Amino acid sequence: MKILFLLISISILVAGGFLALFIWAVRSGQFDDTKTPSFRMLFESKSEKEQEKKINNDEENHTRG
Amino acid sequence: MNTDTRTSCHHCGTPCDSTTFTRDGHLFCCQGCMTIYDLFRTSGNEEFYEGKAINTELDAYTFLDNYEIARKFINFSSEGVNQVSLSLPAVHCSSCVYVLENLPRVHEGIIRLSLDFGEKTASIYYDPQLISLRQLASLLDSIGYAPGFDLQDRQEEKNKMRTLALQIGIAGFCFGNIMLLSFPSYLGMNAADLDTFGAFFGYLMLLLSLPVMFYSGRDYLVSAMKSIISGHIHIDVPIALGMITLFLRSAWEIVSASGEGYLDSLSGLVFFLLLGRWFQEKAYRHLSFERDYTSYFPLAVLRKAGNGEWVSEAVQDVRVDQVLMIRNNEILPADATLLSAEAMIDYSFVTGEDQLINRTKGDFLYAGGRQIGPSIEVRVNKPCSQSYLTQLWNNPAFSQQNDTYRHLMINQVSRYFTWIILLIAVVAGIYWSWNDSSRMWEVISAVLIVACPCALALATPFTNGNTLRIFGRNHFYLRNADTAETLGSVDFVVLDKTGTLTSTRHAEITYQGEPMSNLEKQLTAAMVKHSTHPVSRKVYEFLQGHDHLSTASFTEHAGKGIEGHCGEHFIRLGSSRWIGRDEHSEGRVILEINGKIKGYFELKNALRPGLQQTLTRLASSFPIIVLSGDSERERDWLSALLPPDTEMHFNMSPFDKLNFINELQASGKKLMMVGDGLNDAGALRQSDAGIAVTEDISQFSPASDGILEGNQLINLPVFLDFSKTSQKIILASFVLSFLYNAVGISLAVGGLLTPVIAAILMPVSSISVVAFTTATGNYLAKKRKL
Repeated sequence: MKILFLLISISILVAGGFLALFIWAVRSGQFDDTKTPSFRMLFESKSEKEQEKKINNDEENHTRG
Repeated sequence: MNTDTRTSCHHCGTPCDSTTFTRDGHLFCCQGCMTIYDLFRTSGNEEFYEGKAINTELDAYTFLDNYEIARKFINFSSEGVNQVSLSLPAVHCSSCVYVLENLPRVHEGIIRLSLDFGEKTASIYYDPQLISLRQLASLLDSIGYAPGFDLQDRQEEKNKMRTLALQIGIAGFCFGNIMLLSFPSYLGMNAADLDTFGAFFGYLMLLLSLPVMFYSGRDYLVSAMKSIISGHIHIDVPIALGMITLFLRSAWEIVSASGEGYLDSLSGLVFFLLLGRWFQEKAYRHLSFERDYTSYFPLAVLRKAGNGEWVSEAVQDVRVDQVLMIRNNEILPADATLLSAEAMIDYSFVTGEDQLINRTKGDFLYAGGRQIGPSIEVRVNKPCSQSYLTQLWNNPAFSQQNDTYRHLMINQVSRYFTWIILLIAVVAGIYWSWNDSSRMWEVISAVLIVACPCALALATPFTNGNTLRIFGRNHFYLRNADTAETLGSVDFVVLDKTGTLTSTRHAEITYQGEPMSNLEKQLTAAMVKHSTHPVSRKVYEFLQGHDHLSTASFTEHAGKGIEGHCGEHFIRLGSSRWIGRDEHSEGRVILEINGKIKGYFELKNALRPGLQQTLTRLASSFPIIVLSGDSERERDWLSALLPPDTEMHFNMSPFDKLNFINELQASGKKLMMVGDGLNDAGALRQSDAGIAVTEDISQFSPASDGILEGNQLINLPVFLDFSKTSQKIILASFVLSFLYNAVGISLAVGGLLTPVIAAILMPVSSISVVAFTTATGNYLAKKRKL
């Protein structure tokens, strides 16, 4: 039965990992707008990766500065 | 209003009642849908967008050239990238998302555009070297999405919701895990049976309950403390009392190894309470209930600089004696003297009087009027902040906090509730100190725990939140859930006339005189379609379906009329004085074709369709009072339409309306004010429940407690009736939760409250109360066809 100590500790850790993911998701604004993405996924998109990259870099610089 | 297939969008099916966007005989609700339709017809997307790159700089956005103003909208800028958030009120269907998010393909200056559909805002990344903010706004406007510029901070609201989501998530996580860990005790095992596990489980639960208590439940503790300090006991006090007792007693039991505590009840309680709060707050974040004159006035105006050039100037910086230019449809931001020869001012928003006013050179113009017609020049007499109109906002009604919420049922109940609970706890404590003094503290804490008014606290937010949702489905948007309760307790209904009971959109236009031939109808339609004057728009609607001809020449004479050639015909349409007939025909528009008078159009004020029955129904349960900015001459026809004995007041200035409300309230009555426009702003703010009526919810409406779509006004009695009903639902659920409390407290007083009973009783009472209010509310709404 002593194994329960270990099992419960692990299960709490795993669950805590998911909680951390949830906290990250809320903080990064993934729950701010739950409506638009449902439309967006239906559109065909030609992704413009270079521009995305540029913005992301700028944003990072902005938050750092 | 029912919409049939004729008036729904060909592409997305959204009901639409304007005929602005048509292609191939199909009707579209917006530019976006029409664009998609075109896209489907042409094979590739690229061709469609070609030739669409728009470089115009619309005059309406000149103010964005002023760096100081533009800077307020730019959230961040770095080399080559600026980011702005604009509100796009025209957004309403999936096509809008498609068209807008593909804008980067239209203009290379736009790097990325992402739309928040629910809030109707777009976050735009653009390259300021390739496109200026003004060009960006013009581009959006020209494709049918005129951007709104308000300086409201949405970020704060967003952060608040994020925090709440985190609090709920963490409380839910801990609640689940604590339940799992306390499962052995549900099966009747106690700490001794569990050997070393008992302490392990106990400390783990204690650890998990810390974030629940001090992060998720923080707001309740803080609010209770504030309430005790200010001396107003409300519902958060007994909740916090219960939480603290639960936590301390559980911690004591675990540390002293005498039991496993009630931490599952504690975390469940916080979790359910937070859910209730979420339900209450998640309303219409894209609607603005807090607007004042600054969001109505333009942000900047054109001012004549020393060298005679026109420069854009922020409204706050306008000084006395400066010369401003006011263009067609712009609003005069300050009291001023007219320098141009003539102006036509529409004051309907300020005075409520629905008439264009003719002013000539040297006349004094009040701020808030809208110029209709060619641009005028004015000299400023008073700075913007001291004008006649803005003085209204200096009235105390706008600075004082609305304290009607203190009278809400739940807070009245909880004041007594708290004292009764404390009394019971003390009496039980005294009894047990005689009987078996070792159990005294156990019983006192058990009473405080089980009396924690969780179900009581949930009843109000869930019932009112549900009412809010039901109203929202019927295009009646309340500011918050508490307003639903205020609505249920009003004694008086005060209605504004112009724009509320009557609306220009529903004014009837009639034609009198020689019957018009088909050709003559077409000629007239061809003329009026060029004019933006409200009467012209009405005549155009009247002649719907006759717009086939094009004009050779067209001139609009402000305040007089329009004239022009169409083929070999010469048409004049205007006031009788201008046409040259001196009949007593005030308010009539004379039609003259080839020098011969055919007849006249007349605008007749009319109540909104269906409103007469509504008012009769309303009058049977509430005294109605009608306030109007119009003159007494309206009394006759109005009194014929309104229920008998309706109190009517005419010539009411915005201040008069505000004072009138004040006097009524001084007699201890609760009243609801229904109005539109800036002229009612003070009265709406002062009244217990101020409802703004608007034709289009995305457009301006004054600060209010609720926004009602114009065509839903006929349902007002149903809404009020339902608010009353939901108050009864709340009362019923109070009774229900008191029953639970009575059972719980008798168990606690008898020293019989075990953790298992607490763990069952508390969630069951909460869930059953929530289920009861929601189900009853929905059932009764359905019965009323809401």
